[in-house]
Order: sequence, then structure tokens, then C-alpha cells
Amino acid sequence: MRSKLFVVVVALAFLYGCASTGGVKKVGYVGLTAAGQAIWLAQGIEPTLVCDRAGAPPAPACVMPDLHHTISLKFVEANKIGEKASDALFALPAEIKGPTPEILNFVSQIWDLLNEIRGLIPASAPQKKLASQLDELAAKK
Amino acid sequence: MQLIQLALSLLPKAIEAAQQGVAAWHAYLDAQKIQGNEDLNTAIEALKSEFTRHRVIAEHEAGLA
Repeated sequence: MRSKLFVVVVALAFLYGCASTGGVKKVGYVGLTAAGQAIWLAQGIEPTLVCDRAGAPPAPACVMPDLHHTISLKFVEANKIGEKASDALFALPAEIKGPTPEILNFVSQIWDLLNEIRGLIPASAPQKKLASQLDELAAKK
Repeated sequence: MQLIQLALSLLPKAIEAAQQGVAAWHAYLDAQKIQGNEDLNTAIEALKSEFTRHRVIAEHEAGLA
């Protein structure tokens, strides 16, 4: 009970801090940047795991071409959401106060897609390294 | 009443934690040399360009381009 209440009070105080310093737009930018870095990190590594490409792990740890196609479509979608989120963030007035559900929703959608992609990539040493790096970026959310 | 007293007793630590969180964000942004709204909008435009560039790469990988 005490710890839950503490979390609620911290969250309210954080939102107050953001609003009082006019930092909501900046916080949205940081969250979207972290999501973008996570997408691009995964997007850079995943093609190197595709079966028969140089440096790819042997089957069944490599990514089959059909799966690579599916994953690439998810990267397309995630980046499209990032573009929309950037437009929405750009349009916000500098002095915006309070939370911005639209931006949070976009960022959340990107992380959801990334989690789907993580679940699709077969286990291998590079996949584990990628998962660890994504966890670090997720901590910036 | 007890809940309010408990919330009030936690408030100083909560504010401190929140201030540290806000400070961390601002430190990160300072490192990126983003200050005014114009700087921030320039950074957002650059961010959008990166999303666009990576979308085009992903479309190529997916055989759409």
C-alpha cells in the first residue's frame, strides 16, 4: 500500500515538475528519441541475422526470409508511427502543460511493435545482445 | 485521513525523486544542446527525417521499394 502510494505521488510530482518547467514537449521528444533509437538498433541488427547472409548464425537461429519480410513490414509501420508522432510533437506549443496522451500513445505503439519483433527473432547470441540493448533503451521511456 | 497523512509524509521524498527525474531529462537534453523551442523543433524535424530514412530502408528490405 505504502509503496503504491509512493509511486502515485512520485508520478504526480513528476508531471507537476514537467508542467511547471514547460518541459512536457521536451519529455515527449526524449521518449520518442529513445523509441526511435530502439527501432533503428533492431533494424540495423536484424538483417544481419537473415539466413544465408554473411555473418548470420546457422539455422534454426537465423531469421528465415519469410520472417524477415514480416519483420521488415513491422519496421516500416514503426517508423511511420514515428513520423506521425514527430509531426504531432512539432505541432505542440512550447508552453504546453500536462500530459500529452497522443504522443504517449504513439510511443507506446512503437514499443509494442518492437516487443512483437523481439518475440519473432529466434534465440541466438546476437539476438540476446540486441534484447539487452533494447532493455537499456526502454529504461529511458 | 490516515491516507492523507501518509501521502503528506511521503511528499518530500517523492518531490526529491521527481526532481532528480526531471533533472536527468534536462541533463540529457542539455547534452543534446537543445534549449529553446526553435532548437527543439529543429531537433524534432531531424528526428522525423531519421524515421523517414529508416522507413525507406525497411521498405527496401520488405521488397516494397
